[in-house]
Amino acid sequence: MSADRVRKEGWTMVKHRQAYRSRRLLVVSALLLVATVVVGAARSRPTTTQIVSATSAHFAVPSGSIDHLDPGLWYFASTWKLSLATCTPLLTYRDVAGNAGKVVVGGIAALPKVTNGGRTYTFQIKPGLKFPDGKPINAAVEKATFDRLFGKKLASPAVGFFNVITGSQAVADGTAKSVSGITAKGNTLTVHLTSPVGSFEKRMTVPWTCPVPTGSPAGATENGSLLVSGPYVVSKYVPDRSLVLTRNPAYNAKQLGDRGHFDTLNIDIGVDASQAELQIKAGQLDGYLDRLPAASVNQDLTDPALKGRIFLNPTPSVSYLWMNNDVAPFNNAKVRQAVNYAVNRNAILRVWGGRSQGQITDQILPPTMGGFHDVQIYPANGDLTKAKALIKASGIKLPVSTTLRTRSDAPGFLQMAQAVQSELKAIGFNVSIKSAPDSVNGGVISTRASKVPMGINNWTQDYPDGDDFFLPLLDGEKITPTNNNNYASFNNPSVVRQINKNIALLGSARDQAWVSLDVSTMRNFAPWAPLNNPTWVDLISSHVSGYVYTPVYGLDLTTLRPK
Amino acid sequence: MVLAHDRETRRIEINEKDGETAARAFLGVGRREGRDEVGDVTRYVTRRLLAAGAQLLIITFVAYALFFLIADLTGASPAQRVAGKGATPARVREIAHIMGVDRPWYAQYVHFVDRLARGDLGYSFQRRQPVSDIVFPAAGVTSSLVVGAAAVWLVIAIFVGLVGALRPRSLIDRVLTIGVQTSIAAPVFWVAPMLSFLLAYQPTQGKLLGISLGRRVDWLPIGGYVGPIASPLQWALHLILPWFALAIGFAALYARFVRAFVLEQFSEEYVKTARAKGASEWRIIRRHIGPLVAPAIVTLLGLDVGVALGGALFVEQVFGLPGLGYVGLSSIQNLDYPLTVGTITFAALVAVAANAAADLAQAMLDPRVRAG
Repeated sequence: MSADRVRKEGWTMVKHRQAYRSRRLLVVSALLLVATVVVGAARSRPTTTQIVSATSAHFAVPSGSIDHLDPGLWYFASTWKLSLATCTPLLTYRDVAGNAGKVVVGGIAALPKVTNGGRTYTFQIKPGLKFPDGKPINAAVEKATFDRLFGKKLASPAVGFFNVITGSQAVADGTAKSVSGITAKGNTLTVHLTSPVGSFEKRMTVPWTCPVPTGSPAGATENGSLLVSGPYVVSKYVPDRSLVLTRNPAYNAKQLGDRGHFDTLNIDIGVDASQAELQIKAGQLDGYLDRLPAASVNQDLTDPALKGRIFLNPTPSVSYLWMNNDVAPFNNAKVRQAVNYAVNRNAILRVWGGRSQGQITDQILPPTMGGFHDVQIYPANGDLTKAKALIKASGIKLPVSTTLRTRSDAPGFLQMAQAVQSELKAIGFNVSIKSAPDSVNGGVISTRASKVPMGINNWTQDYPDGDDFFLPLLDGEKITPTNNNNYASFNNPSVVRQINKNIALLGSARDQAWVSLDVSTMRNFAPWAPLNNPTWVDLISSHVSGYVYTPVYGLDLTTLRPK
Repeated sequence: MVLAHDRETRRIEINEKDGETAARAFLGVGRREGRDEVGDVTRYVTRRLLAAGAQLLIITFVAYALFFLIADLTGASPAQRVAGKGATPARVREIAHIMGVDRPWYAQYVHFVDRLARGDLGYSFQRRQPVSDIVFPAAGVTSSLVVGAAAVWLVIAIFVGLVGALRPRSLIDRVLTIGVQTSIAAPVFWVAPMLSFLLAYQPTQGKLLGISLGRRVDWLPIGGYVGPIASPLQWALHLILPWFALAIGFAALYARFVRAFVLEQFSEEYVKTARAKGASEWRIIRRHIGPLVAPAIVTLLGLDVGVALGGALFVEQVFGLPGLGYVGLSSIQNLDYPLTVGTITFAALVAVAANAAADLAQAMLDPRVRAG
């Protein structure tokens, strides 16, 4: 072997060794990097999903849950749930569960004095209340709040609820700037009604009555800056992404109650229900302000590890199959009754999610309503013989081809529609289903000219009174060409007469009158086939305590405490 | 006189290290004079950009037409949605006029294009803020997701593809092929929640893939998003599972492509020549086959960005990432068509730009393309 050759091979070996060393160095560095990331990942908890401090709680809602943050406009159940934390209405309810939570108590004002045969309500605004900017909350502020509510620029849904106030329609029509029926002097607010309304105090509990500072813009203000009368204020809002609530420094706990026990409430917007359920169980989220998925909930209810953290509650709502009285053959009461006999409510409840998701009903009012008693008007499992006999007696020709519309963007509705489709086949009805997101479906069914024959919808009360079901949903005098909530276009003179009689009643006589009307309407006219009263399941993390499910708004954010 | 091809072939014989030259020789294309090349590239870029503009116009037109056709057929009214349930019919008409939705759809489209030309995407009905203020931050999230996922799928695909090509029909190749087939069959809307459940949720319960860890481990978040500026580590941690969820299907397709391509090249003459000259397999792949497979992968990548944006919609939904898919879906549900069309336009712009960029990159890598 020549010297040259040896040198060459020696050099090659050195080069190989160097390459080997640098490769080894590379591998070791890579391993160190990976180890650092893994250790860092294991030690650190993610910022978006972590309980930031002992006085911070973290919640989530799905996308589109926050319709408005202007207290004159909000109307979604999820935003009204937030209203418990962000504003104080004129009157309110105690932060307790059960029937006690349905009793009206003072809010911004004490309970009113009612005079003039139920036509005049005199409220005393509680003394010492202030907005965060130090300006006082008095009767003039509340009057300005009502003037804004009725203003054309705001187009508030509150108008239909409060148009019994004298002079309110003139403001809504744009012919007046101030509601003549409301006067303010110091802390005294006097409200005159055109006619007595037994539910007026309850109507004053809706979060549209939360005071907004004088001089607030007449149009929508969506950044949350008008939510300044509750235990929390909006400190940051990124639409459809996140909402941060922090303590309201001006909140008067002595007058309005010791509410809100966390310094900060972080609310992530756009969190999928299934992921939220996992995050709560993993301790990365404290609660979800919307419906959790039925399948997971059924499992969670039997999980001993979640005992004391999962709660099943009745809701003041009803899911119902409405039949359009404008459209044949549903303009025939016997046909509507036949449908009520044909549907198997137990089977429909199963597709809705089972017993953890609701209870069957054949009545308009939910069992949470005062004076409610369960009357079995139609059989729970259906009665096809009776249904067929009624169809025969109705004189309609079979088969009937018809359409049922429902929403596609909430779980359970399409499945209920398919169950109804299958059950009505047995009485000669060929039902075709049309489903669309609520934004589309709602527009179609609320336009009377669309003449949609049938549909499945849900209604949740705005306040606990029968008139909140009968007036918007079944009062023939309130049917409008568009934005109509009486999807069945049900207009029966005897029912309208009874509604008008019930409106002025008070106390338990009032509750009994609505329940009687409920039973007689369903038995004699059957505008709907009520299907079930959904239940509500809340799951909270192990970091929080003080859970209260209020019967009007559900989960109360102001009673939760750090554990 | 020596022909370019001959000259280049001779250069291979002289120096097998020059992979680029080898690739050119294989393709039969020699290096042109600089002046011609610049002209080619300019013409090509102009042609490509014009085509991209036309594509964008067609996409926005179809999006607009479809939205209004659906609204017309279903009776959905954006004005009614904005007005709320309590609004009177007169109020709904008033709001429709303010929103400009009472005009014919083609008039609205012309207005939209006019605004778009000035860089204005419009104003969201539902969120009451400029569409660009919503779309740009969302695009940042989606870019984080798609670009990261693309990096993940390229790394996996190249590794799996090369291993399969270097050891064809071996045990490891067969195992990887089964893995690839399974990944192709697994839809992203199933993969995403499974990854979240198995790798993020279960460790918090002290388990990993059913095996006890002995204690609770919070290593990956189940959902949510943190910006890269706020915390780069949290940004990466929040995106690891979404990246893999989106990447798995693509990685499988790309791995199959890489394996097939590399295997095919192994039987080519220029590879045999390189082998005969003592080049290692790794060197052949790196210096000879690599430059050939790169343009093809770049083309695929350009095409797949558009497809990945579609997949990102599911991933964003599952992991709660506030990206374009999430924004688009929520805007459709709310009949917020300026935001819907704005999102589609932006997504189309990204897809078209990615395609154009891929074509341009391919032209740089492959002279046949720029020669037309």
